[in-house]
Amino acid sequence: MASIVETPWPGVVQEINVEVGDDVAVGDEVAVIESMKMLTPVESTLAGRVVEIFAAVGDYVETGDRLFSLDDI
Amino acid sequence: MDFTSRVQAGRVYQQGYAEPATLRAPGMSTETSEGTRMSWLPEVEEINQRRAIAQQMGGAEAVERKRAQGSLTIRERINALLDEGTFRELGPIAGSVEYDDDYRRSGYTPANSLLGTGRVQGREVVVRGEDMTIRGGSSDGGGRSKAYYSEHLARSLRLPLVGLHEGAGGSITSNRKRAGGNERGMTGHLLSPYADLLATVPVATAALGSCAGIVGARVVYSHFSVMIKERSFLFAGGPPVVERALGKFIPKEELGNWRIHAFNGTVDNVADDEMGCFEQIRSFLSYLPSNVWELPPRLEPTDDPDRRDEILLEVVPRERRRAFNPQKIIRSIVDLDSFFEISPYFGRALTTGLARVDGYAVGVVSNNPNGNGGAMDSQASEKLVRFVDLCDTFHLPIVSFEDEPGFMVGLEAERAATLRKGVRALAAVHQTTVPWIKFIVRRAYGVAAGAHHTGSGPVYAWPSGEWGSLPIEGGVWAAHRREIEAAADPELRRLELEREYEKIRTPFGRAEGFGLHDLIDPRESRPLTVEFVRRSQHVLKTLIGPKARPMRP
Repeated sequence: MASIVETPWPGVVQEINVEVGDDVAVGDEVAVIESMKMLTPVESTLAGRVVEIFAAVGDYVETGDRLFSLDDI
Repeated sequence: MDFTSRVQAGRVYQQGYAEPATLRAPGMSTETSEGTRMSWLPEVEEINQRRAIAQQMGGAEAVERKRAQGSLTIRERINALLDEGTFRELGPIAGSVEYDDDYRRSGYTPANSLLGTGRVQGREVVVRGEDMTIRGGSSDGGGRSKAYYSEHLARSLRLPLVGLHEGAGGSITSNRKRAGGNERGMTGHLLSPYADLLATVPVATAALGSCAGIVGARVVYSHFSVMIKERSFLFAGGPPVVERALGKFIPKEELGNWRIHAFNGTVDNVADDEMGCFEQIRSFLSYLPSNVWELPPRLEPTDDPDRRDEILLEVVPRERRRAFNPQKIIRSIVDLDSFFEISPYFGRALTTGLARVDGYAVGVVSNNPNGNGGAMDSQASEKLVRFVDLCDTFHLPIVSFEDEPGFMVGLEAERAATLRKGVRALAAVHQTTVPWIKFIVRRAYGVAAGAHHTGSGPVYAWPSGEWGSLPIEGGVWAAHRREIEAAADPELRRLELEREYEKIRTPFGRAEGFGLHDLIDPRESRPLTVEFVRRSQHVLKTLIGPKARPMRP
């Protein structure tokens, strides 16, 4: 079953640093969200292979919104 | 009735324990000599028998079951926490004893809670914990009075209390026991000592397995708590209780794991194993006095008080939207390897921890731009209250690094009661009586900028410091639109106004107006902090004793 990496805080997505098929580890910087006028790196809370990306650069996201889903490697 | 047969008739013997050694004084026969009849040797032997049984806890089988789970027993836990050989147990033979008609001991179950004193890095503490090998550590296993007494003891000896917890809390069978009697005493009075405890001595706890009900509450009723990743579970009510109350079974691994409680602020820190928990408790206590009537002990300083790390010159990016890691700043300024972070997962917009400066213990607070942009959100506010209360209670001066964008804004933030929590944090900061030093390392915006200092010590700004309530670009136009439009040269007027505001935003303008104690080379921060902490010592001496406003958990 795929697991979901969620946004840790609200703001506008400035960078998505993964593509479908990439392997990510816990702590990898997978995205950047601008929150409170600060470019805040988002670290992956899970490890796995990216299956689907839900957010795009320019999107406004709330805490807990889906960023992307991972499958076990 | 001779003593040997009494013991052999006992349940303990029948349960298959090795027959405890018999104590004999030199040249004395226990059964026939005149000396025995005259002496107290039989009773001494009974004491030793009971002590030996108590050492076995719930018996070989129960202990083996515990070990098979990868856990330590409570005796192993206590010995692993304390300096070797320093545990002095209190009530080692407390327990429930059954007697037969001839008043022979027919059974003996040790109390399922241990209590005593011992040393941590040479300093005395009171230590306690539930014994999971007897009635699952539940609070009706004969350990209740020891558990409650430990709070009284720590308070009266004025020693830190360390709780090594695991257990299910109350059991339904205790309802039956208490139904007709008055075992509990007046409702509520047994928890009252706790309120005073946090105001007077450090309380540090570890959740070392499943902790529910009152055992969970004991973990949280502390100044510092730590749990084990994937091994400790904490809840107000365990899965069976939840299932009956809410109609849904939630396994304990989901209900109360560290990903819940380290992130919601219920537990401060996490460790990989039991030894890691003990290590963190030892570290935590090393920064604190044994009680509020003392000052924290100073360690022999090992770091250069004049150290000026070059990294401080470039740690804050010139690009204003780029975050930095506050730990780099903290570690460059406090004594090498002395920073002990508290609550790293909860309220990530704020970094808090204990450290040493020139050997003296201090509290450290910093905005963390990597978490919610460093904003004062509801979690960071709660974290700040708890942390400054800890520092104030135990007389730790506070070193503060400010990069404050203000209260968190937006719908989520409003739903989370950010203003209520944030204003409460401001009040908590300004109620502290310990000295503060503040370094404005970058932003100092909004009301929340007041949550980093009390006016009781120096305020220094780095060249990267900036102030204001709105960005200049756009802000000038919004506020001065009519004035700019009416000017002979509107464009010139706009630039003039922007330059004026720029002066206010930069730390130079602030320093010119004596709004700061100094504008500094960031590399001077450590020597200035050392000077501050040394100077604070005579102030701290005047603050000893309990605060008028005791700390709450």
